[in-house]
Amino acid sequence: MIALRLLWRDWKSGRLGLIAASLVLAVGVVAAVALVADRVQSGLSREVSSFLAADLRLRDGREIDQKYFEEAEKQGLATAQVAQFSSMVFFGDNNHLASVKAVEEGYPLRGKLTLAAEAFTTDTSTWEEVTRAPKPGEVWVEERLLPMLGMEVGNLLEVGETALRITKVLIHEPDRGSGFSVIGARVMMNHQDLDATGVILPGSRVRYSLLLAGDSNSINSYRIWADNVKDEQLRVQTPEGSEQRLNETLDRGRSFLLLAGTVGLLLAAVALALSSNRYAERHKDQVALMKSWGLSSGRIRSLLLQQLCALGVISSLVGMALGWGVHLLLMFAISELLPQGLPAPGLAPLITAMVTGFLCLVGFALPALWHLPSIAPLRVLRRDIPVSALGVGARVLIGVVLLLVILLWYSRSLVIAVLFMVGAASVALVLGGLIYLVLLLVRKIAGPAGSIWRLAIGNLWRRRWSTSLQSIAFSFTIMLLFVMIAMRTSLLEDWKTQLPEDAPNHFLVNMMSWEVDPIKSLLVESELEDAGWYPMVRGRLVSQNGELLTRERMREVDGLDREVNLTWATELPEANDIVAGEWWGENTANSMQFSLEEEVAGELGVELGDRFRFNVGGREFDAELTSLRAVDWDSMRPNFYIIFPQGVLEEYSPNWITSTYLERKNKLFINSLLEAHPTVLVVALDEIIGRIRIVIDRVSLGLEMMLLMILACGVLVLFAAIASSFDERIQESAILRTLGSSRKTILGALGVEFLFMGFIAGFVSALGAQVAVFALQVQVFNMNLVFYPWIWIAGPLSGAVLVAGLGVLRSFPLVVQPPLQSLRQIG
Amino acid sequence: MIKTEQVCKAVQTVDGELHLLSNISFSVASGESLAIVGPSGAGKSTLLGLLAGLDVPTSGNIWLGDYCITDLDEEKRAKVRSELVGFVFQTFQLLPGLTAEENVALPLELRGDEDAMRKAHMYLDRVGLAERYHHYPLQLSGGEQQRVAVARAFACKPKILFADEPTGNLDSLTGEKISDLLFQLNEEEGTILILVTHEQRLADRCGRKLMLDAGLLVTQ
Repeated sequence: MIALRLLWRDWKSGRLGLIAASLVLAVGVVAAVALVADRVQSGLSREVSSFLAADLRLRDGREIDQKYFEEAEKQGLATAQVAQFSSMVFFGDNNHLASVKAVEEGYPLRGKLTLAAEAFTTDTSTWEEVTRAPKPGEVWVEERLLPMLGMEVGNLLEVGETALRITKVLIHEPDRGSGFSVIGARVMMNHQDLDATGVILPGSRVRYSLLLAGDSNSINSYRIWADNVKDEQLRVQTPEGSEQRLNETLDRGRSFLLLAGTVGLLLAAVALALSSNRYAERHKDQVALMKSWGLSSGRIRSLLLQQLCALGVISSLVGMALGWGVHLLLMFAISELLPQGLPAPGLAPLITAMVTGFLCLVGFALPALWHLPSIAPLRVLRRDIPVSALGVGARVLIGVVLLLVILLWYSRSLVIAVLFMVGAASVALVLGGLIYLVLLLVRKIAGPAGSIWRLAIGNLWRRRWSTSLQSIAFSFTIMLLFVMIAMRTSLLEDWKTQLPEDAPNHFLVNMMSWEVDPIKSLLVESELEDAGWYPMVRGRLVSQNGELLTRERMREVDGLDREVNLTWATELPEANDIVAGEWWGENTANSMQFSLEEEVAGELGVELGDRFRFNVGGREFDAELTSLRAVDWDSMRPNFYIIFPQGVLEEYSPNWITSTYLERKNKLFINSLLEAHPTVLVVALDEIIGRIRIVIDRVSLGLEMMLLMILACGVLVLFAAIASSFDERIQESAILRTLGSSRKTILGALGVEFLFMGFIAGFVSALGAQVAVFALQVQVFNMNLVFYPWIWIAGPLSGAVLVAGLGVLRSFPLVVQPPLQSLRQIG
Repeated sequence: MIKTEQVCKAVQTVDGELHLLSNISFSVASGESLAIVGPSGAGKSTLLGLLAGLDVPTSGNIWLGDYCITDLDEEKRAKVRSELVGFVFQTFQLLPGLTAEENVALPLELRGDEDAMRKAHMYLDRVGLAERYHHYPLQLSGGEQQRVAVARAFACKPKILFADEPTGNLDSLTGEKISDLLFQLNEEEGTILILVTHEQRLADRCGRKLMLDAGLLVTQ
């Protein structure tokens, strides 16, 4: 009880404010990040699950074995069977090779189907979202099928030996996926009607799927079981594994949330360390007094620990409440973007936050207070008795080790943890050295300056160690804030660049050379733009410099271990950069050369000048490797591992590929195209791109909310750093006031001091931020390097304004009060 | 009640060993008051610290009551202090974050006294600060702060009260009032009073005087 009473009195006296605020923010940031991550994760998992229409999908070329159904039943999982195949469908004399999907009742297990009552309606309010399969005897068809066969909703469509009534137009199906080939229009029917169609015969090419859904534990154990018992042909697909592009986006979002949490935690930890230090400093006399009253070191330590525990519990509870509130705000902000009825978050995020709070106390507050009980009681008589505080080195070591543990535990990424620690240590070293040098320089040239400057520079020099430490704290804070802002901007820009509004969303494949010109004309007539035309010839690598490329060796080269598409080009394609060698351009005197994508080149272990033998359609030829290319595979354009100059592949009957941006209203273009060129394959990516955009919007909003919390942490560190030298400054200003200095002079000198520290801290933070952003872009976010000139202006400027502003603002009331009051206030 | 025997205190400096006190021997009986006087640097506060068990001598012995505190480690000396000793300091040593009543009650609370606040009020009343229970040290004058310190010292009912320049930070009138209070409470509570002072008038009010010069006991 006495410990609580002492804690309460400390709180009343305002000594605990900064410590408690730091702890509350540390716990709050972690709780908010963990809660949001948990809920967004579950929301997005549902969203991602809809890509499979399930939580797990088994896929096979044969009917799914009964044992998989039995195990699903045992695990209490919901199931739905799906069979997909191509089949001719008829309406009168008209026919079409449709992509038929027979689905069992219960489909889709995740996500929704969008249906319309008529084709090509622009009134989306008439669309309905359903989570059921067509009834037996009914069929839902893709809208472009209707004009193709001259049908209307309500007509009977012949599928094999049966006729099914078209009751709805199918606008969207969740598991359509990114690689859906629309050579045939979608026809969705009930699984029960499958036998009646009589189209599935032994040897028919059918893709069977078993969709599964349930709680994550059951799904996980089912997946493990299935992986163990399945044969080679059966594929077990998870939502995460099904959409690489989307997952990459989500991963970056998750990484940023983690980064934000880590930065917030780091800032709060710095604030906690600084404020604990000040707390300990101000408690020396109290502890000495207690010892003079006869309290043992053990009792004092026990009291301190009890107080810390109580502080930890109370601050953690408040922090968790704050984190909960922020998470609710954030969820409210993005509620329209998330699926409804998300499950409540579990206890794990809150436990994580509380444990983090206690770890912060142990790592940053306890080392500052640990030495207090060993203070000599004689200090009550002689204040000059040195206090053997735990060495700065030992405290830093404890803090660093604990921080590393927290960062590792929290981010589960050694890269993030180590990057931060190395970054922080580098900043501290660089800044410390720089500050010292600048102080030396300024001291020499400040001689003839005015009294304010002389006073300020004199103070800075006298306190050069604490000045350096404070500047490091300022710099660290500003740097981390810049890193967060730059990474957020960088992520958003990267996403926008990758997915511009008019990014090609349909690939046209399998076009013969003679079809290229007519299809180009068709595109022009329909006011559609192509993203370049590329011929493709299937071929494979046979040997390198006369040495056979064995199957074993090629297995290690992802992408070239099978026949690949070879192409030719005169101009270097967009989204390609030459990283070694030279592009041939118009100079194709040596036509027997080729360019290789750099990653597979690395895996293959090649050098420029190597000669390779290619096999195309049974015929072989040699070519020299003359350049390596970096390829942006996310550019939504046709991209190739191997490119030849014009004149090498023409004789091998290439077929062509292009991509174009097609709005939904222009989808009839596909009909015109397929009518005129029935062998052309159209791959639609519009669904997946739309979904990726939604996810990006959600993640972006989350990033901005997190940034606000990080800013709050940053301001707290600045306050804590300013407070750390406060007593000394106030005492000096009181003495100067007593000696006749004006308030203006004292405030001016304080302003110059803070301005100087802020400017230097801002400058070094810009340097550190740019380096850290480079490292994060490359190591964590897998992005292109971006240089931020604004950081170099904003750094010193914001550092100077922020630190000087906060410093002067905080000092002002104490400078203007009577000097005697100031002196008595600090004892 | 207090006895010292050949007490010496030396510290190491860059110039070698510095002797702060040499061969100090004396004793003080219950109810006595003793002033330790001497010029600055004579070793007065050092001796006070040793007597109170706040520090240990380089050689020699000190007894407080039945305890030879020079044989005890810091933890055991702390126990002796809690049992026997009270302090009044030149700089008051009030905790700025606590009110007057909380400052007085704190040592009692730390001893587990459940009646701490009532006793604090009682002693504040006795030192004439009945209207100042809820004032923080910053809101009190120097004299009032020292009264709070005196109330805090006596509230713990020490057998021995050590006072280090108790009037050193006060004007003469206020100092006079504080010394009246000290002696009055000393008499009423029957404590041994040992004070260090530069002030002749205060020293003269004590039953005995101990004169130190350059670490040596000149007269007693």
